[in-house]
Amino acid sequence: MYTRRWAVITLVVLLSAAVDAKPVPIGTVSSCKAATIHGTNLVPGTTIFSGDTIHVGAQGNVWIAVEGGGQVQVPENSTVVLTKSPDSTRVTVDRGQAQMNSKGVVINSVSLEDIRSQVGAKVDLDKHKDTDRDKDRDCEVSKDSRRIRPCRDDID
Amino acid sequence: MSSRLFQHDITFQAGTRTYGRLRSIGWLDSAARVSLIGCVWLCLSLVFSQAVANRYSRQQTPEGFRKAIHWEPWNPDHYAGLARALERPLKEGDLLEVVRLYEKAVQLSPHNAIYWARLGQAYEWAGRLEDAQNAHEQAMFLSPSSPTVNWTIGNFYLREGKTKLALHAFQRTVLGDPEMGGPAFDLAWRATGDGELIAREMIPADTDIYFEYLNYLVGTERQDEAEKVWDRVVELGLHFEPTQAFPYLDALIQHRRIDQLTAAWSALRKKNPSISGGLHASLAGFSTAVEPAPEKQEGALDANLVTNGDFESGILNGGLDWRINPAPGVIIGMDNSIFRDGTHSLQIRFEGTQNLSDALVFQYVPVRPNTSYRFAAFMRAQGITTDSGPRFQIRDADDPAKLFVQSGDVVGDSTWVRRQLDFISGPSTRLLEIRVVRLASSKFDNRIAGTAWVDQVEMKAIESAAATNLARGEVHTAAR
Repeated sequence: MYTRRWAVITLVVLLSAAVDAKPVPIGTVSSCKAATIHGTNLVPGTTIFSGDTIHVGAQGNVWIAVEGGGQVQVPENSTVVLTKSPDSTRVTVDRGQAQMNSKGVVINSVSLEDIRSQVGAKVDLDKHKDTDRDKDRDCEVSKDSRRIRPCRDDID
Repeated sequence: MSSRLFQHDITFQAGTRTYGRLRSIGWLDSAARVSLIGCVWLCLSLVFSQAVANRYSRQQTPEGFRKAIHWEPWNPDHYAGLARALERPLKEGDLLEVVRLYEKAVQLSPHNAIYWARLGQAYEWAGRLEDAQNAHEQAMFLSPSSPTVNWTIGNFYLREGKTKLALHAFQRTVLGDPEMGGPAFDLAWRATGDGELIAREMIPADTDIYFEYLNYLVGTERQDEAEKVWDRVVELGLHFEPTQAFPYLDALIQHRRIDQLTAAWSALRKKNPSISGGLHASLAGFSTAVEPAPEKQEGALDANLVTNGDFESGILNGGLDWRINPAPGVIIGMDNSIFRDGTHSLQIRFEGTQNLSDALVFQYVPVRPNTSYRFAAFMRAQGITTDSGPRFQIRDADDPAKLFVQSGDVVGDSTWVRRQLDFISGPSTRLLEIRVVRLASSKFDNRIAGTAWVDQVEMKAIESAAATNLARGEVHTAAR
């Protein structure tokens, strides 16, 4: 009887926690060029939340100041997903590469296992060399970002 | 004698005074010259140091900014520039220097809101949240409508969990710089996921921003939210051009939300009485403006469902109005010299360069399922070549296999000829396409030339009894 009651209470608590779950901020874009987040143009100062996907196009670049100090750099033709774990910020490189200069950031890839995650490490994934596929990805953006305009360094 | 001596004395005294005055003037002259030279030297050195400092700062490197500070230590731009350069990449040891540089910049230029905003950002990175908030608020105080300042403080509030304050700051950002709409809407959605909260707290009663937000929602496939925002646009009575609503209407067409489409078009027509025809009130229970009386048709139940069927208004190229399908070898436009009724008709001029095989003009028309309709239109031809001229087609917008009827074509020279198609919509048909098409010719001489005119296009629901002899999708009348 008590077991069932506790199970119900636990379930309710878990569900309410899930409903109230707010996105966890990871950092801020300190500088960017030719980059999008979920298909929308990225601008400096934008807050990055856990689970956000950043896509950097040709001749683009993004610097993200992560909470707790340090920065992550995402160079051109790269796609990364940033997630927050209890002890670190995780950068999952889906395409291209990413660099960081902080111990609190761990870079890994979707499929490669030999990923270095020490300070100053650089992950380069050439697994997606299919340029046609890259072009398709570039097209998979919203109408808003189809009005291609460079990511401005300052919005004023 | 005494008077001469007295006179001499006076002359001597006057001479001494003149000499003294001359000496003073000489000193003053020298001092002025020295001061002038000093000023010129000072100005030249200032100009020189400014030029050198600017040259170094243009390098946009930390070394360049450091040299610029050396040459022009009173210029806050160089401190802020150096801080900015050190931020990318921000090494762990540089953060304190970045903070110090921005502090120096605001000390030299305490009324520069941007420096305060960046100082706030740097304080936040350094974990000094209270100082960060103070700096951001100082920036807001100095420049309350600056998009950059509002964007920065909005993001700060968001990270601090002050969502409403953040949304208000984003509202000011978008008002100050409409191009920031996309990033601001996206950030608000990522942060809150609450469309009602965003609409209530962030979207101002500004037509352009409302439509920017509507387009954002449509582009990100948030159709339900888009409909709520559209309802709000209508409710607020905002003034807008029909073309601004086309992306939303296209999304409704794409998602086959026919009732919402009909309602939105009716609302659009209420705001723009110049859009003629296309009474869809009976489809969605909406009351619309009174239509001009259509020609009486036997068994006709509704007014003309075709928008701008008489071509008396300009073609809007979107929504439920006509859309021109641009193609090489054909020019489509309005003609005010040849018409069957009113003062205009649609002119289609073939240049004789292409074997065209597609819709030239088309229009979406919402309909009811399992309902009998009668389509009628007039077409005129002059010098239409080849064995395939323009004709009318009506098809189910989802699947032409469910409903497809077409009239006979018009070739050569002809006066106005009436084309009529009676049909019954299928059980799932909600949206039709009325098209003027030209089918490809298989003959050797297949490049179509000549001119065709279209006028008085009508489509009305008719009583079932009037169409009892119709098979679903069958061409009933296609008389030349």
